[in-house]
Amino acid sequence: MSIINKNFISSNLVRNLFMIIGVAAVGLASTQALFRDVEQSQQGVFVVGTLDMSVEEPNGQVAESIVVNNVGESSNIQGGKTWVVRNVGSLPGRLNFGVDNIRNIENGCNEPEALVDVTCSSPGVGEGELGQNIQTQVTLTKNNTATQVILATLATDQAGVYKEQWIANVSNRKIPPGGSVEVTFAWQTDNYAFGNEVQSDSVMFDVVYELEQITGGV
Amino acid sequence: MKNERPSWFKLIFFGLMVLLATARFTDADFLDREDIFDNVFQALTLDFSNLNTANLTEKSLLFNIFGLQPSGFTLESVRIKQQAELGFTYQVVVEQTIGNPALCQALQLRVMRDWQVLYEGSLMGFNYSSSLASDDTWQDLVFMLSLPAQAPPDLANQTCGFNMYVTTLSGEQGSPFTDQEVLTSQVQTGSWL
Repeated sequence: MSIINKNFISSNLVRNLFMIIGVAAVGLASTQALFRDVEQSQQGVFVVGTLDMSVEEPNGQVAESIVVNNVGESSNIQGGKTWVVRNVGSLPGRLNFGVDNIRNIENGCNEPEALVDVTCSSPGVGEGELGQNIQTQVTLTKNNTATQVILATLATDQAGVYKEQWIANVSNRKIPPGGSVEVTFAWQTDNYAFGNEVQSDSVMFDVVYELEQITGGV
Repeated sequence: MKNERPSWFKLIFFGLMVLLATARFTDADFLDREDIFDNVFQALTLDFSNLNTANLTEKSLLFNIFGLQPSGFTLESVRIKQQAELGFTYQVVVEQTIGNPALCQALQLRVMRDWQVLYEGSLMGFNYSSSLASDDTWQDLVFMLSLPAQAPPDLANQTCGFNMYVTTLSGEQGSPFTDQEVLTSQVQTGSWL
């Protein structure tokens, strides 16, 4: 075969190859989808519920601590404080109540106290005698029905008793979203239930409310 | 060749099946806690002292007389001083401790405060009450003890020991706190014709 024939064959091959590529390119371009549609649902969201409570005074003011600083002025003491506990979240919750961190403090002794009290440290945390003489009563008011649920003193070892009695005596601790209950903490001593042994003593404690999420059942 | 799986694999698989079969709901995930801190009950204090009116030191001895004669007398004073937060009402009474009761009955007492006579009569009949408010600080009492001029000779060379009790009073609904201070005294008569 001559050189002329070889050049002729190879030029035909190249031309055919370009033709195939060109046809393929046109075909691909013409068959590609030109229409597109996207639908977006605006309501398809995941919602996480909220668990939140408020503890307020009955008049809506921020809950204040109990402060009784005149023990000994008269032969006894008595009083009470009411808190409104409201579920302000979107999930139902189970209410727990407790009194924690009870500290009976001696605060030293003056002469009359020292005659009857052998624990006279200052501050003498745990040595005070005041708390054991103060009887407290917790009442739960729900749907206009008041129920006494806790009876305990403010002695140091009584901290766990509050939560135990609350759980044992409150049959339905559920508060639905938007619901509320009233908790009244009352205190009293008998006439002359205490004497010089409590002079200058103090008892301090924390009141604790917990609202826990309900996951099936109450 | 038979493919034998190890036993731990079977155990894990079985446990997973049991867990999935019994699982219902997850535990509570959310918890809200509200604390009302530092609730406090605080007891007040009640205390007083008997002080020497001259140097304000503690005073426990009031009269200590030797050789008292008819128409003889002596003066003593005491400051009842508030030492705490609570005001109080106090009462002063006298009780014989030792000696001749006739001599104790014969002794006369005059009590003054701010130069006003509060009491004048027999020592053993003295019974006085007063109050110190919480913002009062003290009250000064002046005592004059005397033997009447007509004291009989059988009271010569006799002794009368007595205590003066200063005690806070509670009253029906008053403070359960109390305090008591004691002033001791001893009187010995001389001899006379």
